[in-house]
Amino acid sequence: MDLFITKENTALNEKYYFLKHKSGLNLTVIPKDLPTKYAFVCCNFGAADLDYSSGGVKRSLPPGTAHFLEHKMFEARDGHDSFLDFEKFGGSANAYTSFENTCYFFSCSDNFNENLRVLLSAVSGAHFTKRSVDRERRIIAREISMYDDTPSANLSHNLMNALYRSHPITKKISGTAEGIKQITKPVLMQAFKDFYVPENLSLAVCGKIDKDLIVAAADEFFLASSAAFRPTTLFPDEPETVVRQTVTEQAPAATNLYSVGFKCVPSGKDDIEAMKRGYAMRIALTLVFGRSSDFYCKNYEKGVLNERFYAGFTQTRGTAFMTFSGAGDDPGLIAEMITEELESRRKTLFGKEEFAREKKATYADSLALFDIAEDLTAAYAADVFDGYDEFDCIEALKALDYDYICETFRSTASTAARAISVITPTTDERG
Amino acid sequence: MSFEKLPGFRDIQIAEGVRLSYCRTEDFKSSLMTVSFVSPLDKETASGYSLLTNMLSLATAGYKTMRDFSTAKDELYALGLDSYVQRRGELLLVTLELSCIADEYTLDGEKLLYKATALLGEAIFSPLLDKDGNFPQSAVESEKVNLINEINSIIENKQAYAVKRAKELLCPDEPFSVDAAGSAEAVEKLTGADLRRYYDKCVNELPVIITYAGSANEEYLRQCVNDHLRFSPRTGKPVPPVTHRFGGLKKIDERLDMEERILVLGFECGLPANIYDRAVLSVFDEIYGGSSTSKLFMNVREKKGLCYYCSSYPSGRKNLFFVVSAVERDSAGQAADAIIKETDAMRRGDFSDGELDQAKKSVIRSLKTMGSGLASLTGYMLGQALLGTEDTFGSIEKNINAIESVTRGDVSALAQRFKLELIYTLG
Repeated sequence: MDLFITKENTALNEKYYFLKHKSGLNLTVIPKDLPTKYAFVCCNFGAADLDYSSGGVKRSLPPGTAHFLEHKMFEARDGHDSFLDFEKFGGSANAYTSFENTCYFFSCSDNFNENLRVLLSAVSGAHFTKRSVDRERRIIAREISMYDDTPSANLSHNLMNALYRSHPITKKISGTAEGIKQITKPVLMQAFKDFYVPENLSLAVCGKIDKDLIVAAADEFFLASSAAFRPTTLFPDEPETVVRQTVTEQAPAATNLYSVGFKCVPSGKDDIEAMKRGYAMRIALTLVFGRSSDFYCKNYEKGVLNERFYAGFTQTRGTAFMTFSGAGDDPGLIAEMITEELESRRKTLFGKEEFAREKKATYADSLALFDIAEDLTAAYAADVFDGYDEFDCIEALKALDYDYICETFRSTASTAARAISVITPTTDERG
Repeated sequence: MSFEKLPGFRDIQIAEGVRLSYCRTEDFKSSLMTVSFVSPLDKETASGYSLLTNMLSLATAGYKTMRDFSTAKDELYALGLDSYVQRRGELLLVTLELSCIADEYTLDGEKLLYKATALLGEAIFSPLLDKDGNFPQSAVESEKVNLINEINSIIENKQAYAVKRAKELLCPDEPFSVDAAGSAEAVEKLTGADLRRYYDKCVNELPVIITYAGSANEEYLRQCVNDHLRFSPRTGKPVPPVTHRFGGLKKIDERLDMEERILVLGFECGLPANIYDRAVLSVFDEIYGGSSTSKLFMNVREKKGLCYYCSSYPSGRKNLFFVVSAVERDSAGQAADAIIKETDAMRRGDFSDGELDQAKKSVIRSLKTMGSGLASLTGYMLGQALLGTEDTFGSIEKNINAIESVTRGDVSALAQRFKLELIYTLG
């Protein structure tokens, strides 16, 4: 009997099937007639899950634990690398960690079931040894150095530390070379035990795939009896003010790089209302600072802004902020100009015609996701934990009205808490 | 392997020197079109073409300001219309790329592709010029500043910068070392009148390759192209790459303020002359350093823990092969030795039949699954057009057959031709 729920959007000519497996595992099947098939396992455990409470017990993990665990999960039972199994079955696999979650995925054209079993076997058990953990620490230290040599990564990390006091967003996803020394086998095992429970995992697959085979695979790796629930992540209280107004660092770069941040009041929950707020802010910021805006065009022509200028709004659990990044001679002046524009536009707001145009543009942008099957599968795998799906996003976007955008922009885009992160070029580029 | 559908490519010669390759697919909600002018890569001209693409992205005769042009794009469902230079071996391509949602998904059923192609045609055939017919000098001056900043910003990407330096050191007097973005010194000297000459060269003389992947049928696509992309016939032929001469081993270390050290090894490996040579090179690459089960990944990263990445890059149209890794400051020598050891293993044929078989399957798979994305479809069509392939659809099977027939002897024979020519470190 087909137990899956079908969700359909006829205007988009898209549908998917969802089933809560008896183990608690979330299963999503997206039918698509493409030569490649995709599978993503998303664990709702990311770099921001540092302090948490599990069954009344409070625990803390060293920064970088979720990412370290991601590196180790592809180690199979006898110590061999799961990548070799994927290769045997013609699967191409990888993984990544964000602040919100950890994702493991593969794509293939044949042997989907075999590849799926390699993936589910990897994420359903932890098999590493102290020795392999120690070896991995060295590889991760190299990865950390690589990010340390990337100015854009430092620019953003410094900005988060200027905006926030102790929220996990101030930490690096992969941790620091010194800090990851505390990540040992017992630490990784504890994190695995607490967070890699079926309820906290989601499997999304995309392609011409038989739903029954997905259920059979889930039956094999996830027991019906596992009743564990996800721990509650604890976030520190953050003041409304910033920690520092300016932070500057030197690095090899062609010109000054800047990122100006404004701290906003976080949405209470990561729910559909927060999603709507995100869309509204995205449309508003594009109207004020996008490629067709007065602000951008005028300052581009003056040579103050260039193609690297970007305005965005980000929300994570316990944070919300606007960022304005780019490259230019005088970051202080640009920050002032942005602040003035925000304050002025919160009063004058937008024309209805430009609003309608931008809404259409954002709709077209959202359609693009459905053309990249790999990203679509990843989005569905993660959506499960937010309580809404990509159809809800498109419909919410279509329904956004002018007044809502204006009100959201007016109430969110406060300029009271501002910080500037700057990278200045080292004088001696080459010796 | 079971594959139900291969992309249905078609190639049409629109005029002499003007080719349209397209693939009709209904698997996507958007479509992608590229128009590329093909020039030899040359130190003297790269900067001019590069700056020209900045100007073409900015405005047109009909949309005189950046704001007008951006608004016109927004009106058409925020279509993407970009202009950029790209290099393929020793060729430089001036490319305009159009991406827009398919007509079927517009909210009011409009003929979006037709309007979008009109805007693309406007960007190509009606640039904004001054009364003397040149690109306006004031806009040229500000785009020069932007382009110079962009060229210099490569230093922010240490790996890209190290590879650029490695190419310069390995091929100092060959087009291969020329950066398609241009050089700051040459950009500095360009004028609006110079850009007009580069523009005329593109529109009147250079071979043109148009690619399209999306839901439009041939009749509709032809209508869009005939009405808005009318190129005159041209005779320019693509130039073959300059053969690289082995210059003996160079060891060069350069300093830069950074945490780790980038290591680049450059090998000369004999020019891939035909479809079969290219197949051997791609199978070799897969086993040696092009995947996460390759010898370099498994041994230099996983077993020895020397780096986060260690990957190989064959240069498609040139007889050079690069290995790039980022290592701890003191381990560069150890990592270089480990990479050379894996090259020696390839020479000896020290890889299993299973590895060879998996590598072949993986390369074939990437050909057979290109229909999973629009960009991989247009990329393949462009690549085949540059190789002079007459029948893009037929080339898939020919490529697959060539890969299937690669033997272990072929792979080790290629490795035996590898001559280490550069050990470069940055950091």
